[in-house]
Amino acid sequence: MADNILVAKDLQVVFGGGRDIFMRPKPTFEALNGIDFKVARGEAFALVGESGAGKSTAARCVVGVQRPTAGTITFDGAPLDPRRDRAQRRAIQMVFQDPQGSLNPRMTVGAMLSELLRRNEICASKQQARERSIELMSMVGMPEAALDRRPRSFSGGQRQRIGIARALAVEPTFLVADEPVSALDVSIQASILILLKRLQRELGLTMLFISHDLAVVKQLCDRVAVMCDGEIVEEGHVDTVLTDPHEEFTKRLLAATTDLPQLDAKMRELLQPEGSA
Amino acid sequence: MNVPDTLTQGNKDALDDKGALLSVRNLRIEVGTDGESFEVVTGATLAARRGEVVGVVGESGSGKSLTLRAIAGLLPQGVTVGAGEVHVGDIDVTKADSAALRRLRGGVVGMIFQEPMTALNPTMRIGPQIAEAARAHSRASRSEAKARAIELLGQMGFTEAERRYRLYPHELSGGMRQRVVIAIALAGNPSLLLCDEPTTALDATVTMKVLNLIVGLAADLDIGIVLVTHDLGVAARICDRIVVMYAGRMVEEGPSEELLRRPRHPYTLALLQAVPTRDSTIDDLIAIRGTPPTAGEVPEGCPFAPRCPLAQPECLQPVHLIEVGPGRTSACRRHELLEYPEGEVDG
Repeated sequence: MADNILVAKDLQVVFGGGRDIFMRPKPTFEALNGIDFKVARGEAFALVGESGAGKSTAARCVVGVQRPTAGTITFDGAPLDPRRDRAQRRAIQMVFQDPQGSLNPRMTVGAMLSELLRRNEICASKQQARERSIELMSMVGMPEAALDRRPRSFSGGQRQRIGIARALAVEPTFLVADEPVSALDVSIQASILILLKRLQRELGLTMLFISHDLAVVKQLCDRVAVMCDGEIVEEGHVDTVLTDPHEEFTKRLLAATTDLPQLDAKMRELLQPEGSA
Repeated sequence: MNVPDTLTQGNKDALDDKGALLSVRNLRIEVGTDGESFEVVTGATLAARRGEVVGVVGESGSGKSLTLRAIAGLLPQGVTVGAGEVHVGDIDVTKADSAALRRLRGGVVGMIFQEPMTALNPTMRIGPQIAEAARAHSRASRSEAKARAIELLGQMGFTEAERRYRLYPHELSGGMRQRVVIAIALAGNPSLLLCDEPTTALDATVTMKVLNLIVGLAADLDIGIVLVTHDLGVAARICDRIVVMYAGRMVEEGPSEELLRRPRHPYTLALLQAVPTRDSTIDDLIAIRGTPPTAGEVPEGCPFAPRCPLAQPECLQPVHLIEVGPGRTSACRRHELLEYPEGEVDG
């Protein structure tokens, strides 16, 4: 039997409702229509769908910035609601789509990490915090010197690395990544995907990955749930869903996925890192 | 006539061809005043014929959008054409006066931008917006323009076009808005359609519909299409030829299928191995080290050299486009390495 770290049951989120200033009822919108999903410990699980499908709303419920209208989420056997304790807050961390918007522009990266580490009592002294920050930077492939600079001076890809370091600082077990590469240049995306996969493997993280792109999901995830209009329409192992989709919507989504002609076999060897450098 | 050596066979054919619509030669675009200006596009050369879809692929800052804007004479303030020629039909865009440019924009060249909502007037019904564009470039009466607008809406796949004529932009979905923008672009019967990331703001399944619509136009209306995109997948789907740009320079050009299967520039090859596709797995992906140079700080020589696994000291010398096959060019000194990958790696 699978060891499910996160179980969402009948999760529902309704926006709107209430009355306007003339006491007329306002229309409601069901962003999540009572969905169920489970994430096993150590796996990478994806919610995929188009804009408005409700995938980000589900992620926001898991992270605790959105209160579900109905339904429950349990994490490690304990109920998870927006008012959670410090251990639960630390355990679940998020990587955002736009790294620019998720970093404080007025703090150096070092100061930001140091504050996080000390507030969460992971490091007792400034010295310790600095050492841990250097470690975090090297985990995401950034030099120590980056700690003394502000977010503005980095490129999009580097900022996303810092965003990942920030999420990892408090030693989470569960990482929620909401479209972490869709704001990045094409030549940068691969390096971030590879980094996320490596960290997931090395740290044994469980990952909830939100994306509109089945091709990106295929690289990173074990299982996928396809969402449409607030409901999960199909769920299964990534390879199964991609090779043998059952729902019409999944088929359409798959048909729209990046599909390039096969590169000549001999060309594939040319740029291998250990090649003629 | 003295033909510059950067012209490729494909370009020459297009220029000789009576159907040649667009020819851009050695275009240089500069930003800033005389005192402190730097090049953002260097030596762009491209051509398009009727019925052909040409893709210009590059990352942000590669100069692809500016090249497209220069074709319509729509460069933003402070950005100027430093050298080179742009011919659309019989109009010399860089030397045209404002009357000729008015005739060009909309009448000869239609444009579609990324965000459909900003291209539409939110306070005006969609039909009249199309009719207005139709009247701007013909002597059509109001009722003729309205009939034309309804016909265009029908062509764009709107059912009950007469009823939809009266809708406002906010009542439409993103894909439908983009189709209204395309209808407006086509209202003046242009022979060349310029598309700047037309599907980037749209969902994947909607993207497919809009792309299919655009390809259909090239064939049905026999117009030339230049499509700027950062997405190799989009270019692969609909383009006949692809031009790859990097840091303001053209690095490679060729027929789509060939270019994607056997690229002749390491940047194209690196990009192809960095893009996640339906068939790839994470272990197939190879990240490209480093980041693209910022405009004004592009290194001498090959702009990709600092990130290129195949770079040699000679790559720091200036490079130019080399003809590497029928209709194919590459700006890589070591293109032969990519042509015969089975040969010795250390040439």
